[in-house]
Amino acid sequence: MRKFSYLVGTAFLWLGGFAGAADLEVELPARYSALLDSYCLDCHDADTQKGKVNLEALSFHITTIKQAELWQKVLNALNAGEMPPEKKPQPKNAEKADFLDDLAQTMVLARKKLSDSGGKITMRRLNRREYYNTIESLTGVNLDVSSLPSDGGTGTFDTVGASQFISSDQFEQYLKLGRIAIDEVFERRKLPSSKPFTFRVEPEKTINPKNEKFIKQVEERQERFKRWKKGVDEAAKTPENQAIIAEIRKTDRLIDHPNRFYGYADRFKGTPNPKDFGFLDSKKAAASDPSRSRNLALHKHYVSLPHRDTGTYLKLTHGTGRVIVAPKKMSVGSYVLRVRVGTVKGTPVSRRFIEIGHPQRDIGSRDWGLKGRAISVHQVSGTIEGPEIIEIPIEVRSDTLREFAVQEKQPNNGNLKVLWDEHNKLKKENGYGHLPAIWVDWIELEGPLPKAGTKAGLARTLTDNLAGPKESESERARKILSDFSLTAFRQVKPAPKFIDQLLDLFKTRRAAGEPFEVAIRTPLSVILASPGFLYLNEPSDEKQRRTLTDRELAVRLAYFLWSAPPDAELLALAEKNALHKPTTLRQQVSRLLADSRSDEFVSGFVHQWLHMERLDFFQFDTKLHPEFDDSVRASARREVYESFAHLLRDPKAGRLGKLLKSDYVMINGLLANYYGIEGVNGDEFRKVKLPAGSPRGGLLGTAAIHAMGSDGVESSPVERGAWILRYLLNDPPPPAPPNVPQLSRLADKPIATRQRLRAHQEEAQCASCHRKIDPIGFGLENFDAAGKWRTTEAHRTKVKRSWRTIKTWEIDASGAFYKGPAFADYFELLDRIAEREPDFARGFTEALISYSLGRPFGFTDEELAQEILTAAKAKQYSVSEFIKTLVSSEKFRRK
Amino acid sequence: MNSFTNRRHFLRGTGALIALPALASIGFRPFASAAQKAKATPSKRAVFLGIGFGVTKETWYPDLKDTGANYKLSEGLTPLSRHKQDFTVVQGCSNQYSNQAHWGSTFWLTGANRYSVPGQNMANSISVDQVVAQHLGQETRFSSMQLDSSDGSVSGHGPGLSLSWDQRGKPVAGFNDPLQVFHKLFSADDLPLAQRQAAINQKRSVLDAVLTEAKRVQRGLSKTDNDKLDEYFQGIRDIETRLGKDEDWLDVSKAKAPMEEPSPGLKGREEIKVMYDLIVAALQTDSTRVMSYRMPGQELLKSLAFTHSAHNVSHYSPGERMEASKTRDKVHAQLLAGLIDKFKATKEADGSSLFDHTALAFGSNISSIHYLDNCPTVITGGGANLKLGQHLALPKDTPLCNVWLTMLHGMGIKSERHGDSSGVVKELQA
Repeated sequence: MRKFSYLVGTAFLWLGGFAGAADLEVELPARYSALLDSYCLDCHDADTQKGKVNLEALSFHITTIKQAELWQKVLNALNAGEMPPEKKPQPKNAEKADFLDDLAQTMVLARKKLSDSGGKITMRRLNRREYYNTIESLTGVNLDVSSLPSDGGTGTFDTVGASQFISSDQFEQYLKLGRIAIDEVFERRKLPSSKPFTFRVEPEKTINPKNEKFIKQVEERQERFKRWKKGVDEAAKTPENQAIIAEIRKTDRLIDHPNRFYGYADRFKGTPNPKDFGFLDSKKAAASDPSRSRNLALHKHYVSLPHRDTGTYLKLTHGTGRVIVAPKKMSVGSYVLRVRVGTVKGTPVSRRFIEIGHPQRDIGSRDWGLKGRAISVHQVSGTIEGPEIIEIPIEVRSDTLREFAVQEKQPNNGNLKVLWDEHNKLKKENGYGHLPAIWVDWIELEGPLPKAGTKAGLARTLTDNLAGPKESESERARKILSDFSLTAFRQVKPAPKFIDQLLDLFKTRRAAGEPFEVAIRTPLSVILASPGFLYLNEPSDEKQRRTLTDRELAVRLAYFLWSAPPDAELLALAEKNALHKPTTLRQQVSRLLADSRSDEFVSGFVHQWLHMERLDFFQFDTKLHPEFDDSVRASARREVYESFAHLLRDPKAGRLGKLLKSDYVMINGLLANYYGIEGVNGDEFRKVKLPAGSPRGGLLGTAAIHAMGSDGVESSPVERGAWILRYLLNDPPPPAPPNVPQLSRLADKPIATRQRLRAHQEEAQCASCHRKIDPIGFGLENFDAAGKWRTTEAHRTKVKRSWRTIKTWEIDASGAFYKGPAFADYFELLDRIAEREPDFARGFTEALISYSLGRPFGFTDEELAQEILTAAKAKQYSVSEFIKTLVSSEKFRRK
Repeated sequence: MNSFTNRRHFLRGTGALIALPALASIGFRPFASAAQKAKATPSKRAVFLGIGFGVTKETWYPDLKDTGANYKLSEGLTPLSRHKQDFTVVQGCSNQYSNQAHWGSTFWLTGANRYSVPGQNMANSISVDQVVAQHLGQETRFSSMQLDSSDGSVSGHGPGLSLSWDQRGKPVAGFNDPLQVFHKLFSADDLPLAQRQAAINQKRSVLDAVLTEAKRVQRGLSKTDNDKLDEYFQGIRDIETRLGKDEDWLDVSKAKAPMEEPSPGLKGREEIKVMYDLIVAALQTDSTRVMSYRMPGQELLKSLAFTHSAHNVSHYSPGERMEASKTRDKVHAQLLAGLIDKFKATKEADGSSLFDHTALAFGSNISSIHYLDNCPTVITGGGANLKLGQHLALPKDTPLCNVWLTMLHGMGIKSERHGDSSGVVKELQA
């Protein structure tokens, strides 16, 4: 149970009473005055004030930033082990740990109270996600927004206005990006004239002949080598050459190995000139020794396979592994890529995936691989006899490379060394290497396809006003600019002077000789850098809070649940002043959540709420975790989103607690393969019932959460324990303090992780937090760094880039919560955590409030949190009920 | 500024505009030339290099008891030995308000208190390089230039867009691609003068338009929201200032690049090396006089063939991670030694070297692991008139801002204080 004895005010709140932030007391328990008296005040009393620190006058009741700073100093000095000084009497470890624990928690509360906004919502601008979506909604263009700052990152959501900033550089980025979007709108308008086309690649015509040619070339080269070798062998026999060879042997002991020997031929006397045999020198000639060919056998085997007259087999390594699709001309727009594909009978599930991307061209000599990450990965469930057609939507922007490639999914993020090692091993067994797995009949690219949405907004105004008589030019431009401003500013009229100024810009461009449809672009992109577009502004008076207008409410609601502007239905309701009615609001929430645009809420909120950026922090070790590649990582992230979305969209059974424990998982074929769950094929995520005894189900059963609690090599019980306390149990440990001595006494010793971390209990500074954190983490040790289930752990060291196992242990996942229940293994731990649904709901509610209102959760939000929790509890903690209650609350409609 | 404009108008009026390129070829310092003649000494420059996660405690710091000029160089600093007379290692400094164990750069040059503004959970103040830029940035094409790396978030730098924070404590963006820096500094703008002037005028009209809108939005906003919108206004004003400067420099072509265009895609050690070259090139051509560089950490380790994450290496303990940490320290020292070589080899018009006029600080807010005390600090260059060639052990918890203040004073910038400074470091003054 959490201790609230030191926090009189909050303890009161938890009993059901409500109080504003102003009434809250942040107070360190009085019982610690004895400790301060015994160990600190000798030097730091009012008389001595050693180091100018007077603790005697320091109140236990923290009300000012100055007091907080001094207590922070006390905390820092204790954490650093500086105080009390070595020669002075020291508090007992347990006593000190308790004090540090309470002081650290009190400091967190003090910070929270002192930075409480008092319910103020600072105006915010569109964050990067919202900007992207809003531009898409207005223009139909998907921008590359990576040049904008991502927002968030100082421990708050990216929707929190007080933590956002804007700079001159950023303003210029908005201008530039706005221009790109507008340019693309005009380019897309030409689409009706750029005829849709279908471009088909038949690999038996593009790739297979190359393979055959390759084989012929290699064999011909080997033939020439053999003839040359004969002459060399003959010449090498002379005593003179034997002497030369003996001389070389002194510096190269391996000269007698045939792979080395012929490379030296040009040093011998009387050997045939390699140039006469078509080789540049001996080294080049020697390279054509058949015994050195890595892939001739592979190519010959693939050529001998059936069905090559109508398709080709993708190669995993050595040879043409990718099929390139490069139509001559592609305008911007939406396309679909179709792949008719099947797998060879008996292919293991792990090799039934294809990925598409842009072919890499940076290394000219390498005819394989993709440039950067794959665009998408797809599971192949068809066979050669019954191939399937996989359809992949592709968006082509002005900066998109107009060239695509399909290849077999590369394990290990394309680590070639691992692949080649495997190939060589297989070659020893079967004589050629990797088995053929995927057969491609054809690949087809169709487009540009008519895109929904481009008829709306800007496109329509342009259609209506671009063309017309010369005399009305200025009027038409004004109409375009006014219309677009109104939409871009979410139905707020711009200043008339603004339109005049935009029109002047247009006229200047016209006078400079630009045609109408070019001159209009500059002022249009200025609209997309204006404050009325960038800021979600709600005029208000701080002294007199007011209720939002329905239009403002529509905006707030749409950005909450879609991270995008309101649609026509919301705006129509707002115009009729009908949106704010509770029943209407609840209906609209249901509608918005059912719409696929709420995927933006799911990913934006869940990613930040559960601190999922950690998932991208580490490159996973390809030797230890060969299967956890980029595509599995991406699917693992999706699994968490899908698990949440599933509950969000199921008002009846969508119980929040199922994120703690469930008898099903939301996975696709790739993850099913990763988890060893059978019978799940295909790319789409779906609900899969778990067999009894499976460790999967709930957030703690996902690969993503465990990978986040690792460093890509080893699991980290500390990260995992702290994560569970923070996000599942709503009992966050204070942030990692600086200057705590690191205990490396046991680091890198060949002992089990939980033995190693025992060192945390030796020093009070560590124990004060780690006694709560570590035991929970130990309970998850059955999951390795990449979230795979394991029963043993190993201590390894790295020797010349490969891992050597020194020792292994059976995993002991038993433990006990600090001052709480014990558990024998992971499953019992999970049951204890699942019982804490109310705590989980509390943390979720705080996060929702902060995300939706755009301010850090403060004490002022207590009342709202209680209101939501009470309502949600009455509906079995249904996820959508949290949102509906929040949206219908008084606070949600307040400025 | 006014006098420059007048001078240019005067030059134009008398048809002497043609003379400008000729002026420019002397030391690449067209506008400063008048001021220069009066001063007769090359101008001062400042460079700040931030490494993010700290150093290896056991091997980077010289022995605390062995101070003064004849100290023994530590293992981690050995690659700098040829310059031992020309840099100073300062120990004992820290930023008293820093509590974030993973933020090596956010407050490094500011010394700010994150919680100093009630009702806000993140506040910062101006960084020392920007203070210098306010004084030295007037006469160059770029008031200051910020360099950054693409892996800032995982290399222990903390929030920010570069090492630099502006007057209002807002992050200043940096360039993270050497190629981009090169083009910004040296790529010629081929458009005719009139068109470039027209482009500037158009930008002004754009600013005027959005200002109209900003004023409309401002009406009826609460005090807090108004403060928020003020950032937007300030952004606009900054661009206006920059446009004014662009206009001043319109008829002066960019400096000729004293180096080759960098190859694309450099990462880690090579990336730092080329950024160092760009720093020298930018200062040498007097394109700017103030530079900060938030260096890569994760990528640096990767380029040295270490697979552990930068964070993981920062928590080193004897074994592979400690080796990685020590190697990284040495590589940093090697690179810094190379940079000093270049500074020394680059000659100014009066025969002195660039080194003599540049003040350079290298370090981080994090000393090592989770420690924020004893920030690693190396000071070099003659630009701030500091006493080099010594190992200086200051009393524990001396404000790091005292060092920055001492630098400012040494450069002739008489700030009363910087951050939480309590005075200058006398021992550091030459």
